[in-house]
Amino acid sequence: MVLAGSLYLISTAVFSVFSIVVGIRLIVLSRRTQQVPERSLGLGLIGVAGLGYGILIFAMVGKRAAGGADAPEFYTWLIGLGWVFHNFGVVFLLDFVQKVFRPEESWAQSLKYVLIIVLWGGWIADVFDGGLTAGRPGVYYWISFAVIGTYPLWTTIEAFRYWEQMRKRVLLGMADPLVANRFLLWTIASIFSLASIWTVQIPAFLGYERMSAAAEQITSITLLCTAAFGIATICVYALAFFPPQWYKNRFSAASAGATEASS
Amino acid sequence: MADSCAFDNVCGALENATSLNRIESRGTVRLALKTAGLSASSVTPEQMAVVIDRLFPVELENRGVADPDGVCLKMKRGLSAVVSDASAGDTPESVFDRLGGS
Repeated sequence: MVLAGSLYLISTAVFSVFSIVVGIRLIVLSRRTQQVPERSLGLGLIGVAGLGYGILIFAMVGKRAAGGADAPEFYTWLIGLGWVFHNFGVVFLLDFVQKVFRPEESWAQSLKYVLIIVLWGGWIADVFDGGLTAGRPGVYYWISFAVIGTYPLWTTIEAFRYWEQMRKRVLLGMADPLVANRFLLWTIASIFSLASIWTVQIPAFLGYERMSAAAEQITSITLLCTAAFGIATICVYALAFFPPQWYKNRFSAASAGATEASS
Repeated sequence: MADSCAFDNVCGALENATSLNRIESRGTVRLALKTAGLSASSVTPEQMAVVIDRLFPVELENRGVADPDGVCLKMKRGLSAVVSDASAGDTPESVFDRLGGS
């Protein structure tokens, strides 16, 4: 359990820091381009993964070290703050996927607002219901989780659908293979996000109390899996947002080969 | 969503230059766009020109159209009058291009 917990903490810390770096880079980019999508994505990554997960993990570890249920109220406030950052991040990520992939479809705009209302409505109701200190998640928690656990699916589907279109364009020499690959990387990163969100909830699905001794064995396995998904996501983000030269070269060579073959 | 000017223009040219009716022309162009990973609502004149060059000769031949190369030439001539819609805004492709810092 100690090893799994340590790995989980380290991977989450690295994931949070890396997400903040990517987020800041995207916000700087949006100031230069004066475009909204990169700003939404940057704020989304900083909110969800950087400050959201970062503060939540720090607060939960601190609360446990300070005696769990007997810990000072400060930790409960910190957990609440972590959730606020996380939920604002989800709002920006929903805004990104809607504005980039479905800017003119009214159903997508409606879906975005419904998801935002359910997320915040469920979370606020959970807070007033004592959810921040409860041992087991209540019904309102699961209402907000209905959004947290599904919004990456929207991103996954849209990015995968667009990647398929881009592959066809690449074959005709109408698209950059590296950009086409970025849609695949984003699909994979979204799948890893989805997997880590669901995996870390397994003890709660099975009805275990948070931080209870009974949940330790299953929790150590889920933490290890979540850590692996976190590290994998960092690697995929690195290739998508900071593609190294060797990675770019792979696509330049493929592009040159395709051009030669088609001419 | 409305179809792009490039799409409407090429469909009209195909209908005028062949015996295909309006529905057949539009269906033929839509199928070619799908093969190219493009959509009728967002295709640009430049992308449509590539589709005409690379996919249409075979598509028209498969439909029994006489002189596919001549028809393609007519479609491309008509397309040259279509101006790219600058207000079309950001595409997912241009957004993801920027995300990588290129």
